[in-house]
Amino acid sequence: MMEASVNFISVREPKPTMADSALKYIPRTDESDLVNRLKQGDESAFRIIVETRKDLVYNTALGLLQNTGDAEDVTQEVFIKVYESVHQFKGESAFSTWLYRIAVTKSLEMIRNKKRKKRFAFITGLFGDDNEPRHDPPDFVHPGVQMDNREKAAMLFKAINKLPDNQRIAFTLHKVEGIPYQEISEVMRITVSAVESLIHRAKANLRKSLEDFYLTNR
Amino acid sequence: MKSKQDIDQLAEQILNSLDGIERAETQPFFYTRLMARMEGSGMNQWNRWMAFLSKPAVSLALLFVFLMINGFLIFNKLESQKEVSGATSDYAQMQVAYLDPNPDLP
Repeated sequence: MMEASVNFISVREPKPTMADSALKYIPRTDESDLVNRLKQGDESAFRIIVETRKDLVYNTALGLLQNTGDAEDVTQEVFIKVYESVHQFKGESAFSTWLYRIAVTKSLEMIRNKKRKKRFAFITGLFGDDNEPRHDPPDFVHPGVQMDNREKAAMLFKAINKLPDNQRIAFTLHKVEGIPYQEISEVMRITVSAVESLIHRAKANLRKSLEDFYLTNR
Repeated sequence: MKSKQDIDQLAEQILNSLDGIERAETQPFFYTRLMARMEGSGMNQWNRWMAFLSKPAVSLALLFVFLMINGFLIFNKLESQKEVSGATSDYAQMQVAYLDPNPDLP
């Protein structure tokens, strides 16, 4: 008689508590089953979803926002949104695609809010301290970049910031999160050829921006 | 001084600097912080209602309904006033006709 095999995935928690140790190994439950359980208000299903997908959301947000604090905020907002509107998820796309879509939307919202705040910073600055840093933030270094590439990656992220939104999303999802073109097209609700075109244009713009930087600073 | 070829090469290297990037991880105890935010930052019924009402589409729709009801009530009031004033003027004309001395009489 064959034994039923159960796949396990590990959830990394550096200092697990007693409660966390129970989650050390979570059976790879069917995604739709988890979603159905969450729709019925099962909190344990929500916890499994959070623990197994938090890094996916965080890495996406971090790639777009280039700030660890903001990325953590957006990751929390994404899961709150998932908890509140899981009933709207019809299963037409993969659950991860839905998560990516929410993460991208929330990240863009935060970028726009920050730009708006920056625009009115002069006026708000006149009316007292708003606890916002007055200095330019240091260059962003993604924690997952290999040590010998850190300086170059910091320059690349700076250049990525100047890209139009669509090109930035497509390039970041592909390069930072490693999503294939097909899934990016589902996340952005565009065709695969449109994704290819966006990434091609993003690369061309980045190359030009980097070359201009070196030509003016040589 | 760097040549154009060097610069092109450098730009290409920078573009490829994200190759082999590893996924960033959240700080420990993310779920605990998430739960604290969900419970603490007012995910209660009142705040949900307020969040729902503050959506532009909802608030504009409510404003439209309010204006429609207002307009309807004002229109109705004007109509009824017109009817009352019409009836009053008829009555006044009758009174005038009654009180008006007969011109045939001496």
